[in-house]
Amino acid sequence: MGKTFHRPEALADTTTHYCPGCTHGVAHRLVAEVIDELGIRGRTVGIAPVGCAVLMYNYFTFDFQEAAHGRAPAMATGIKRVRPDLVVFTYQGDGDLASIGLSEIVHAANRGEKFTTIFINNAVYGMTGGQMAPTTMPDQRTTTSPFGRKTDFTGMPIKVSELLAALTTPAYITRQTLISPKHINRSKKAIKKAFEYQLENRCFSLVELISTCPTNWGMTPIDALKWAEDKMLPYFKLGDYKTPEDH
Amino acid sequence: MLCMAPASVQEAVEMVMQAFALAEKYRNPVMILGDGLTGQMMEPVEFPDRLKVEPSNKDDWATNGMDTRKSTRRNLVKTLYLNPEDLNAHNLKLKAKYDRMQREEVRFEKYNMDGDYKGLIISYGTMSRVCRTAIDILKSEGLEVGMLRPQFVFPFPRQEIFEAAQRESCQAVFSIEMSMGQMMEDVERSVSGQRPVHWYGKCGGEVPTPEEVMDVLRSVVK
Repeated sequence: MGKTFHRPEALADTTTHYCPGCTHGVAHRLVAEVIDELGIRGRTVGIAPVGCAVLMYNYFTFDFQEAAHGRAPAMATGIKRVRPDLVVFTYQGDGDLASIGLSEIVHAANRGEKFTTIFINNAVYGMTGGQMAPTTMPDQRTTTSPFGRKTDFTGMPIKVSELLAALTTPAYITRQTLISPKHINRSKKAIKKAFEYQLENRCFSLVELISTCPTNWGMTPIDALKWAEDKMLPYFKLGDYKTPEDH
Repeated sequence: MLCMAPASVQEAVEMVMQAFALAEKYRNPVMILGDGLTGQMMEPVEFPDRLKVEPSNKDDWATNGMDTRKSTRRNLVKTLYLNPEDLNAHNLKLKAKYDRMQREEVRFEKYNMDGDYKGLIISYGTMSRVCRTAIDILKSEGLEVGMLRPQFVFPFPRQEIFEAAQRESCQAVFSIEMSMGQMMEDVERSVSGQRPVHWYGKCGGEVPTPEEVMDVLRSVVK
């Protein structure tokens, strides 16, 4: 009997440092599966962010670089422009991408850089201890908003996909989530499409993945999935915000 | 990091070329420390032939894709080392690189240093050109002053300044800068207490005149 389920070649045979219930592992696996299926491991370069996923290069088996906080799009731009034959992607959290790196991602998307961004939105700064992020939900408690995020003082969460979709330059911008097998399958399709657009040299592509952080949310992994569904999805609506076909 | 301080537009052009070659040699950023005058001044420039840079073997480190280098081993470019032993080893590697820069990349220019100079100016960039004029005028008046101009401010020509300050005729050393004395500490360290060190400078875009430089020299050196 043949093996029907195995570790993707693009994924290293090692234990990750992620907390129980964290969805980074799922997102990593989806990226690895797509890279295997497209047969591009030998010409892929990943850019790791600052945040929980900074050590992600330990979990993949192809070339990787580590960027300064929020600067992954600048690094990806450089690599992709010098070597357009390589497949380049950044993998960034909301603290990295939506806060310190917001300008980087807006300009990279607007220039139509031909790389792919996997954007993990879990509404909180993970690695640094659960501080409020630009994506933190109204009234969500974090270590820096112990009484909940007050929107009259800090504004509403930034909707990155909508923000980037407002740009005119053609791009693939989609928001998916990792909270159920059905959604995970859709997320994988979106990631694959993003890489395919890059292979066709068509456009910048960004896949936002609504994710969970049970540790910093102070919940069990199952409660965290439920919270993401109840609190995040009504605000961060899923779907394609832009496709190259729109133009 | 290597830091170049051009004193003319011509030198700036040449240094930009060198900067790329040195960045390749050391796999390290190189900084060009211009000033407002070199940045905005028009001067005739001759473009030298392109520097011939020996291509380094990037396959050991570059993230150029495993297929490119026909390798099954991936390359990783990073600076984060959570294990103190690893970080220490990494820092030692960087230190060896900076030490090599100090051995191999000291660049400076001497002006009027053949004779028995009574004062020694250390100055870089546009300021050094003002100092040249001051030195020429002082020479016509019978006061010999030499200048050692660092062309790179890192690595700093410490040994050369130390030796130049030891000249028997040399009464004092002057750090003359368009800044509030950022180079002064380096000059003092280089002179190592062998001669008194004086500072003169202005900043904010004001350029000291040759007359001001001459007044400083005359007030100290007899």
